[in-house]
Amino acid sequence: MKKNQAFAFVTLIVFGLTVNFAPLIFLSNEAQAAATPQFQQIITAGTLLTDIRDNSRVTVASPTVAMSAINASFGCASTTGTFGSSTQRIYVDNPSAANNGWTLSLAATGGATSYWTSASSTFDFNDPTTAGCTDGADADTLSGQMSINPSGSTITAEYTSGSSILGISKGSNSAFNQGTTDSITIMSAANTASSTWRGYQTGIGVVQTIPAEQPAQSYTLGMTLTVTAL
Amino acid sequence: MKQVRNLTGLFSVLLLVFFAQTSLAVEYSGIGGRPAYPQADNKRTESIFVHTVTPGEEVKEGVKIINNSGVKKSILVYATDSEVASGGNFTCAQKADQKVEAGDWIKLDKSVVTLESTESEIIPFKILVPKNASVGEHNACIVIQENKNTPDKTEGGIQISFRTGLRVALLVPGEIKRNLEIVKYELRKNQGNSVIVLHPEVKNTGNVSIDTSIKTLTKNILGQIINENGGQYPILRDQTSEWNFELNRPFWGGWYKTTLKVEYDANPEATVGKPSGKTITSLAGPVIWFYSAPSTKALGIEIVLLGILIAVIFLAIRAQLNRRKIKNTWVMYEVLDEDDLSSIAERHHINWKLLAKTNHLEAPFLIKPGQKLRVPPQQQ
Repeated sequence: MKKNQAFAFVTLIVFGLTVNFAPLIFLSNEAQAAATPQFQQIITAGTLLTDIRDNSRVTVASPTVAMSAINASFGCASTTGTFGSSTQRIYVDNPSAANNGWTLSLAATGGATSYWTSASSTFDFNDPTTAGCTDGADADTLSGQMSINPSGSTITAEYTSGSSILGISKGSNSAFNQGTTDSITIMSAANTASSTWRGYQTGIGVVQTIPAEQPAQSYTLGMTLTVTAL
Repeated sequence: MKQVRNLTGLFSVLLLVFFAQTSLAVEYSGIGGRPAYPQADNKRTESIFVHTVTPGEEVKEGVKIINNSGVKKSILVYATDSEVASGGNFTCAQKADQKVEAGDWIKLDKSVVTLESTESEIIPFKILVPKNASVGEHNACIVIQENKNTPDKTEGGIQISFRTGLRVALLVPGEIKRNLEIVKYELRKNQGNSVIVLHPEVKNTGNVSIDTSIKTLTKNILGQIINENGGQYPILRDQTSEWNFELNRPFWGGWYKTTLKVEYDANPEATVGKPSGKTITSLAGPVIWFYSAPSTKALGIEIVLLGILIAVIFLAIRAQLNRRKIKNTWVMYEVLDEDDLSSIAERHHINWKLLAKTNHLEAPFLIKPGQKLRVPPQQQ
């Protein structure tokens, strides 16, 4: 009985170790045939990506930047928001995927002709005329302008094999301007930024000019965050 | 009882198996891609697509789409033109934007791919260079994005989507010009003045992008390096690129000097990821001296140290003045039979210790009649 027990115990341990370590070890055919087996491990580069995660590093399925609510007004006004917070962190993962740096930028998903929409009304996000208070020479008849200020944001390197901020540059405060500034740089990294870098950015200021007499409704604008390998 | 022991043993082994499995759990990330066929002589082609092309040529390429997430994903793959983002940075135009440049030269075999977790697939594509393609560099993007339904628009606010772009750099040979100019180098204050921002701007006046080494170096007044930043960045043709490197305000404060050095390969043989191997051109920006106020803690420490220093100097000066006063005004006094040190000191309204010190007397401070001592003059 004791022998049987010992045999069962050893079998289970061998089984357990095989189950757990087999995926980590790639034994080539040549190695198997050789008298002295050699272990071979190939780790290929990962993929560059950006997304928004919470403080447990779980991806937020439908992230939204809420702008401060304002009352409908006869005058031009502005509303503010913050892109990137402690619960919606803007992550970039570069697991040796971009070996000469990358940029992170924000643009309207629908392109430069997009605008804020509600059930029955619209206003612009990229018309610079009188700082967004009147309609300019662009194709639409809407006014309104959005500016993005990453300069006051915070970048936290969560994983880096080198200096955490070497080669990392924040974008400058910029406003969308149709045909001139259709994408705004949030952050960029040089080749000196660690080739395996993971970090996040929070506290990017957003200001949107609301045209005079804009109807009181809930407005939405789709924007895309693009991380590009250089 | 034996059965209980057997069950306990089996349970322990199962626990071992379970925890070993847990400790080796894979951390998933997301979806992405990279060039399927990197060139052995250009490491950059492991991350982006780089080709020297001739007008009318057809180039065959492939992009490897990878699902590193833990679930099955439907993934969009599409080409776009490149776009210049604020600060002169490279980015990709939106899917909705009409392609009018090199993005329109790219024809992918597939636009949607569905991959199980950890699966990958190579999507072939062709680059059809038009016969009238101009000399110089043309950029485009291959973009990888999750194929998701448009978010619900009832919530309001800015609804964010994500995507990854891979640069496609196509060089049409001819009269290539590679030239950079430093536009400015300045300091900007940020975050309630707790951070100093080093802000270089460099303009590319050539007709191709230039991989540029930007180096900022900040030293204290003793010549010690307190900050180095920068790296290699591509500057796009006809664009001015800018950077904001942060320098935490030095703890002790003081005067500092910062410099900018720009290096690039101006030789027309150089291409993206392949230097010419010839001399590198170097440009130097202006030297900026700046004063940085100390931090609040450092200021407190500095005030205390300054106070101590002032007190020490004050005491030293006072002692020197006293010594000079004694030397110039005190007179000689001959000790009488009934005198002792304290009685003489009391009579002259001074501390006996000062009297002893001035006359170099040591413990037990004995004096003899007829001994000469220096004492303050008697007040009239």
